[in-house]
Amino acid sequence: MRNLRRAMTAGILAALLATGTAAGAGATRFPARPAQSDITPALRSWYVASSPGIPAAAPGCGKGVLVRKVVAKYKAKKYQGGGYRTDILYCGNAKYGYRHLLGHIKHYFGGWSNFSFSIAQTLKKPAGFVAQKNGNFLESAPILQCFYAGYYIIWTFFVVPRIKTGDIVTAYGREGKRVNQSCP
Amino acid sequence: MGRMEFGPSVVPELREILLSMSEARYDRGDGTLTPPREVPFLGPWHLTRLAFDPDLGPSRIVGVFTGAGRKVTAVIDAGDFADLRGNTSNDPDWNSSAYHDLAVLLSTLIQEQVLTWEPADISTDEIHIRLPADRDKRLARY
Repeated sequence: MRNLRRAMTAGILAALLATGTAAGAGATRFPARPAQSDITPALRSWYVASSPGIPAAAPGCGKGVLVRKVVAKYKAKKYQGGGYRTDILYCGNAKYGYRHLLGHIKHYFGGWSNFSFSIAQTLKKPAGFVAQKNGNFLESAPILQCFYAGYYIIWTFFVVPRIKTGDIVTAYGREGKRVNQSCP
Repeated sequence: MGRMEFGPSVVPELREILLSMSEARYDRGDGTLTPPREVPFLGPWHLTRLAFDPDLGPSRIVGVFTGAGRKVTAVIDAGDFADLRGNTSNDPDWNSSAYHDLAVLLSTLIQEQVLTWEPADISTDEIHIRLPADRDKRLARY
């Protein structure tokens, strides 16, 4: 509810910022920060504003819709070898896909459009990219929630696709610290 | 009617996943990734206990996680995972690991509800591990 109120009373502009030494420092705290020697400067060039007011396509996962109906396809950075793959979000069920992450959307800001935007940004340019023994990647990136009042909140957004297929199991955001200055 | 119970393999499989090492790469900021390095699945947390509840037996799993001076107890009830509780299924639609569905699902949910939080940011000492839809249903009762 708190997030919904924020969304209604403040202009929302979602933005992606790379982890590192600039305003994104500390935003991606899981699983472990990269060593400073791994990070190059010029991180502000990562900033990508969303397009407020352009809604994502409706998921269309109502009652009776098959679990393998495709909700969205995302361009996803490959873990190895460079380039991109396509990750797919299916309607799924309570355990994976859109029907699983439906419960997370209401705890994020900006509704499905912004949630889908955050999935896309995280997969396209993950700040942290973890290959896990349970068969899933854990990918994360900082997302900025900007307010016209002159401050922003750094969220860490997580997406969990299957390593083998790229199907999205779940996704969710974690609200982080508030920074009392305008969005970078 | 008796309580639903977990199968015997879920605790060892879940423990194996939670205590495993993952391989992580990080973006340097210029679009390239760092070389892989090992990181614990648990992130900043430690697993101090994972077992069936001493009073309720196989109907409940209790996991205790500690980190940065915080202790969080994760409670998992077999009744919340009725269709998977035997830990004998492998659904190719969402599980392509070497583990059974329940162990994989629980590891994902524990990551959602505990491990991806900084220890200092968790506001409660006990967390019921449930599917997102079930968490909201329980909250709606209050």
